[in-house]
Amino acid sequence: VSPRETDEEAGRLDAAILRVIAAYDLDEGGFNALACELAAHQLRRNAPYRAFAARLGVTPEAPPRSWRDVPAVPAAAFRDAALATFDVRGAQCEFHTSGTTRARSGRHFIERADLYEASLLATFDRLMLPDGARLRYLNLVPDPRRRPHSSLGYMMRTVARRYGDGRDGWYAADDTLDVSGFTHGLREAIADGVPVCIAATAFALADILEACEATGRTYALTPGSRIMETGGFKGRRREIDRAELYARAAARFGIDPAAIVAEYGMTELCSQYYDAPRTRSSLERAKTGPPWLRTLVVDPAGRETPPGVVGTLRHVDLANRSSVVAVDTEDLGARTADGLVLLGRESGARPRGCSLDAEMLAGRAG
Amino acid sequence: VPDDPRGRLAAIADAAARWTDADFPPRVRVAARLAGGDGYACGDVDYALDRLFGALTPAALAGLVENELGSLSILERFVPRAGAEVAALPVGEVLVVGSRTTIGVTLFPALCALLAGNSVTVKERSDLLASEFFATLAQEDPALASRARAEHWAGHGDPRAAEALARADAVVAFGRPETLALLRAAARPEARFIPFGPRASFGYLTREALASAALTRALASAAARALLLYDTEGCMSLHGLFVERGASVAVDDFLALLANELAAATRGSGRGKHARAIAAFARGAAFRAAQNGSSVYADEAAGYALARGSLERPPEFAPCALEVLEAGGPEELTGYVRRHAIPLEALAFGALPERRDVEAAALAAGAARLTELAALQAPRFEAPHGGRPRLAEFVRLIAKDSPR
Repeated sequence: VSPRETDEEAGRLDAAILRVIAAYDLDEGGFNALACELAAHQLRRNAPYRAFAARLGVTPEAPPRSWRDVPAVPAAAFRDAALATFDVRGAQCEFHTSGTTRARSGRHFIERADLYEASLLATFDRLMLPDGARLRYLNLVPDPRRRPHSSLGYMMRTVARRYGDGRDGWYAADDTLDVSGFTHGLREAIADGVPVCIAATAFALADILEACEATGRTYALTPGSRIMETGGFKGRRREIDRAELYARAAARFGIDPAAIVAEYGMTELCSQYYDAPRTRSSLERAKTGPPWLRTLVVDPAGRETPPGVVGTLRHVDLANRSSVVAVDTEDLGARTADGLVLLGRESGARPRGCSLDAEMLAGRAG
Repeated sequence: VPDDPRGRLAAIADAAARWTDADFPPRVRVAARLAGGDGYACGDVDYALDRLFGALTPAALAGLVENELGSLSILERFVPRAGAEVAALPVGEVLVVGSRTTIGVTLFPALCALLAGNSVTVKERSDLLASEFFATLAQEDPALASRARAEHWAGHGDPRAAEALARADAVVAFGRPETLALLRAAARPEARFIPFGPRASFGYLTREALASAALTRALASAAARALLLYDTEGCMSLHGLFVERGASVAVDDFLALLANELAAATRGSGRGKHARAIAAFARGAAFRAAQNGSSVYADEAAGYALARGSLERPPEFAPCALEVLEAGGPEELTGYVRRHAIPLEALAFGALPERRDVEAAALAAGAARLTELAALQAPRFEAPHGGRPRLAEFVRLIAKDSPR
């Protein structure tokens, strides 16, 4: 296959995915056909992926016939190889994993920023902005000017540029939060009568709440304000109870707990899940995603688990055209009638005193 | 003046002897909990309890005191030492906190503190083993009943834990660094703080150790046991294994041999609780192996996983999973441990005494214990642990000057 033919193939696939994103609609047959076509493309053009797939008996000459059979690389593989269908020197985006649970960062190279942006914007629009609100984005996530390789920062900058009021603020830098800047931003938005979207990791939200609680101040945010929480509740520092955190945030900022929406994304994926709207008032929230992102819940042998049975998540993201569409994670979840329920992350060796703590050891290294 | 240390020693040894009987009712209850709620393999539980209580013989207890303090008499009166007479009196109240530990880890320091004459409280999430053993101890010596308590630890918010921390004269803490920092901050500034954070153990098999097929097979068997016991969660579990280049067996052949031993050892052992973590390890290893052409071994039930590791790449740790690394010499072991900032507990060899250069490398790597692979999970009670004495930290040494 000549480079030109490859470029043409990539362009054709990108166009097909962009059409799906624009339509926000894709049936099982369409998903299957596109996933298999993408897998075949990646088997031809992504050498590390081809080597891995060959061990599973999948080759460019014998590509998968069902999206369920597309070989999934472990998310950790992004640390070990440049998983790309193109020369990564031409990548329009390069995102690094945070390294909070791994010693080395993984790198996700994306050939076309417009495809990534189209995917994230369409989903954000549907699931965070169903009312079409124009919000002010107050971000407690990495500032992309300081952390250009943060996919979360890039995502929120893209969202703020497209859907914001032009006065977005960034209050997280180098693991510290600018509390006074953030509360000043809150007060300004209230004075302007502008609803806000606070984008925060769970831990940043907990930290900012702690700081606000210490002063005793509450904020009556303009109606229509909301919070996008991301990043999970288990970390090295401590564990956070989600229901309690949401209740505290709702009380402190004067919003309905249902206006706090959890986003689930990964640096290794170009698409995201959000709390399904119909479950946002219930104790157990389920996730929903765009039509071009599907997830299998699998057992340790890689077989799909029945509905309701916990397994690890294997994502198939068609927007990952220039890397790999199928990614195995260590995140736990189950399929329910409402969607995908996330249940945290499978740890390695359990943390025990006078013993190995895999996460801690990994965190120290590198 | 503390009461008779010989009586305490006898009570501890006698209670431990009763616990070496696998049918002793308290032990049966504890074993059921460990195998049920905590999910350890039954064979591991029995081995651990046998090891734990079998080690607490009168000779071992007396040997520990003599090793660390010179004699048992120092615990009850002044004894002559160079330049002065010295007595070793209890520090007072000792608190042992186990955030999460492997089987019986908190019991050793608790018994050492008791032997030294202190009052002891053990606080851990699963307090059954300590409380059941202390009940046996109270039967042996009723005076110890009020001195040894076991309580459930509900975490940092536990008000009883806060009280105990504020009261303790010495705190032994097992846990993650964050937990240790919180406990240290909650303890009295003048209290002795004895932390045990996460540590890893490695094996290093020299060319000489792998000189014959029989030796090689025996070491593969020992490595399998050291990996699987306590599901690789103990600080003396095998977390990584070096095989020296130039041995009679190539590293890939040793890997295959070890895989056979692991397959045999895990067959029907019910280690499914770690299946997901093992599978994740195996998937990651399979990806790397696909890039370099090496092999990965993992059984269908995900009872174990085994792969080649890389000196440059940080180690992958997972329960019942092992990376085997090829080393040109012991300096590569030292470099690896330093490069990846691995807190090393023990370094295990094929046989002792080991080559001088290997021993030097182990010390340079920060190992707190040098041992044989077959004995990795069986440390001697009389020996120090984690680079610290076991008993000496629980006494105040009082000097009475000699007349000048």
